[in-house]
Amino acid sequence: MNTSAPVFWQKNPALAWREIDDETVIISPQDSVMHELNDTGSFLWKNIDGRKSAAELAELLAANYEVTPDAALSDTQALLEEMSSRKLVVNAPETGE
Amino acid sequence: MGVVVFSTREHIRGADVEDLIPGIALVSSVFLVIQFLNDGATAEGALPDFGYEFEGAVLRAFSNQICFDGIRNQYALDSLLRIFLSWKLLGHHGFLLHAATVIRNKKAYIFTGRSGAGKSTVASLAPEGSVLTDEISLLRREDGIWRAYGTPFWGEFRAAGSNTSAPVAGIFRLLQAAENRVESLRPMATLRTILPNVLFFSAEAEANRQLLEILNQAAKEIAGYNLSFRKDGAFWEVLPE
Repeated sequence: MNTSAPVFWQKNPALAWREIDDETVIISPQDSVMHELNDTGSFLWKNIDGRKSAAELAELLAANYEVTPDAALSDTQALLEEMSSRKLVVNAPETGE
Repeated sequence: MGVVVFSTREHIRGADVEDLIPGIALVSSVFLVIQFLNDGATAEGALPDFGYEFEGAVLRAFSNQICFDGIRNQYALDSLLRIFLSWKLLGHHGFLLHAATVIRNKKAYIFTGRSGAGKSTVASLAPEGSVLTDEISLLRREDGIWRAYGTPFWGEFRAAGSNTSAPVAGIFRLLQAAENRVESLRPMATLRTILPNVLFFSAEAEANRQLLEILNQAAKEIAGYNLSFRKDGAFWEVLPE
């Protein structure tokens, strides 16, 4: 892991998504695939705004749900990895200081 | 087990080639659509609002005109009409669904499911004249009420389509079983039921957002059910009024 510059995540702007009953449905129009997130996944999804790293997202998750910081971090990283491989999230462009 | 659950589900049927295998196009309905939409001036050289190509047949839709080029048979026209209608309905708060629609007590019962789930079976068990379609249902929200319309798109049943509509009683996901039973669905489960069966062909993000908005509203406002049914007419007895 690169420790010097944290990676910020943002949603792929080409997606359609919708929260319903605390769950989230995401459609990727290019391949017409539907994805679903449960409540904690939806919580993370809402907070993926191009300004937070995996660690910051995990902190928010741990603060809002009954989950240990370690579990929150590993789950958040796993989710981002999975979603990144499916191009649902992308790295936010570096803005500099 | 992690707390964050992410799942990727089946493909949305709209983009499957399988969907483009057409049923029967009722030529009179087709011409009605085209004439209705061709009442404006032509748009020579202009970029269409929506375009689609399917096996050499091309659809271009402008604000006041729709053009079909390279149509060599009724099946190509049928396919492009489905595509066109799915796009056009966005602006009319509606969508096309792989579903049979049966009218009973002046209400529309929508039966959805993949090929082989029993749409045509349900249609064949319904009284004569009560089936709006056994293949593609059209749902639209008008004055706060969801209505189902007949379409010119048919599967095995091949009855004459009827240009009529009725308020929607519910959407029923067909599951073949040994006994007849209905189970009420939460909006998310209803959305999960309809999404894979919606016909939609645009890869444009904004159009998909609009569609999702419409489907979300439909899932919240239309009662959704799992319908386990035996292949006989007795399942009607367990349906809600």
